[in-house]
Amino acid sequence: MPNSVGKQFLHWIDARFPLSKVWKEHFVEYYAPKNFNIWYFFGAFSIVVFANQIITGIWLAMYYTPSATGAFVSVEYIMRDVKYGWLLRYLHSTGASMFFIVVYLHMFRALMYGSYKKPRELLWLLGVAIYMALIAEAFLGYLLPWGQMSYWGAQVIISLFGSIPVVGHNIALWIRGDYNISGATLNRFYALHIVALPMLISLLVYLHIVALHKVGSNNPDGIEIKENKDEKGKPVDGVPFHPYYTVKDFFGIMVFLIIFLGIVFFLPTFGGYFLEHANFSEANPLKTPAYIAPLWYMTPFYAMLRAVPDKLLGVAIMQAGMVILFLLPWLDRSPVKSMRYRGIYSRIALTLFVISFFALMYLGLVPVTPIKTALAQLFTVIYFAFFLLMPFYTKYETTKPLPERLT
Amino acid sequence: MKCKWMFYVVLCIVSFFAVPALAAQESTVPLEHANINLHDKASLQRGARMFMNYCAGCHSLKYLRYTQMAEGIGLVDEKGQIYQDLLRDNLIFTDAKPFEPIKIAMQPKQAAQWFGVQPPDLTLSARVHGADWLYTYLISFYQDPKRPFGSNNLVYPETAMPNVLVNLQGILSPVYTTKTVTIEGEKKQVEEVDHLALVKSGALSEHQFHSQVNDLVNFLVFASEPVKLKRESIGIFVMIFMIILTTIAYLLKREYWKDIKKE
Repeated sequence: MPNSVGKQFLHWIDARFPLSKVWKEHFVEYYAPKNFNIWYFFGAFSIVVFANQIITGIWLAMYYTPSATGAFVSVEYIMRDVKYGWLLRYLHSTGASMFFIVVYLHMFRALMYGSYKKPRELLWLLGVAIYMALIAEAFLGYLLPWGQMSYWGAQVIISLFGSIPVVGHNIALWIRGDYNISGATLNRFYALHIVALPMLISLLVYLHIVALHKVGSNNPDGIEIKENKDEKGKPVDGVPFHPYYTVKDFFGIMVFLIIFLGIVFFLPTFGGYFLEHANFSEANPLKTPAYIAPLWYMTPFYAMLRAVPDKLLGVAIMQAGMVILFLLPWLDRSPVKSMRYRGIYSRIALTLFVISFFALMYLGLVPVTPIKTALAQLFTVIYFAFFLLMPFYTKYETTKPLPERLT
Repeated sequence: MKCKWMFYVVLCIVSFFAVPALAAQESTVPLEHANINLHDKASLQRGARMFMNYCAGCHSLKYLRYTQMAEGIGLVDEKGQIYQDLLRDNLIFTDAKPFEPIKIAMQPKQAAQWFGVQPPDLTLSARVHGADWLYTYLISFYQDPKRPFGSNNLVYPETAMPNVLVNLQGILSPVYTTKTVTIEGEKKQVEEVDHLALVKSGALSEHQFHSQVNDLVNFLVFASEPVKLKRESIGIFVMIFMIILTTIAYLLKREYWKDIKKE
């Protein structure tokens, strides 16, 4: 009987590895709130994109040459001579931008429903750490095609370290491994991009999920389903992750893949946003482009950098723009989690924050003019005000009463 | 709930098309529109002919192989075999083998001496500059005795490239207008090229010339991404497959969630 053979094998495994236990604890008996809406898909999407990046990355690494003379040529070789190499490359390049789209939406979900609040502070911190690692990973990977924007983007960002007093110059030198961006820089970026950062991100993602399963998911109502259990000890407003959310996420992932593959097959450069036009010309250390901008997912912070007249202060503000995310759980004094039950101040603050984020994203993409710099300064202030004023506006607003059960 | 879903789907689709494309290249003059159609094999073949006759002396297409070019522009029989003789006799002017990339004999150092800069490889030019820029650039050369090769360009002022298509296009001369501009608070009169006027006809009429340059740009767009048509045709099958799979996934999800009643 195949069934009993299967069962025997499972027993054999279970005696040596907690397979059934993990399956039970994290899938069939892991209870998730039953009222997840569309915003709760993006965690699953980001895992899909991460897997895509790893798999396509491995195959790209088989054909890519990490050297100043070979890098650009090998990318075109992948695009033209490697069978379906173009598909691997477009999946990887589109994946990079899509990763940030889903991560930004995932983070916005957390802001909207207060998913960073007690008891999920560590979950949030790990998430922000993943985001930081992702920024580093994207920055390192962006040098690899060795196009003009790769080269000069890296030049600009690494030169920022040079603004640190006293040791700055030596730090920049240490990062580059040369006095300019060169083959030495490319090789170390390659090593970090394909080994160090992916390992770090994998670890952080694992910890993120461990932390999630300890505290359980938040939900659009922002009330704890664990506080309302039936006689068997199961949350009355929870459903087992498997099969309910596995089938739901599977459906969501398919919809996401339609969009993702639609871009890969029909709009791979996305009008110059996912693959920049200037990056199709090979890096030339002697020819500085008239205009240098990072890819769209970093431009909000790039706009902050440019908004500040002093370089060192600009770097500090840009850094603070990311680091301040870590403080969020302790800045929020609201008695409720979800925006559904918060007062008008929180709603206005979040709206302004989102507007300022998009505005900074746009301002970081376009060349500076005096008016645009002033606007960038205004939106930088709004961006920080969202965080710094949070202890006040969340404390002094009137919230709506929380429901007993999920709505 | 259904309404909300529809809203998000519509939002996705709208934002997909609403994304304004970044300008490929900043240009001070308005760009003319190039008609790009990679399905038009005759146009691609005329473009390849023009490239080999007028450009390939100085500009390589080093990421494109002659055979890839032949396949892309339709020099193949019904079995997909390349017409080797046709290719060798008409489009390979060097001693290159058909599978080799399209390179040039000119030495980079010498080229830089002669022209001031080394003529760039053009394989990816359409991806860097965009088709409209290339098209407008190629039709915007005019007579300028101040320049080393006697010609200048509206789109790319002081370009190092000589006007190699002058025999086809004829000689164009700029017609200036004076414009008052304010520079640092001071009003100044500046002479600006208003338009170009034909002073000596070439071998082709204006319409013929523009059409030929369009063919050339069409060819360069093909060269910049030879896989484009294949990518799009595979994409259609992928989309059909994904829509079917998504429908099944939705039905599966609906079946499971039927018993979770909202209380």
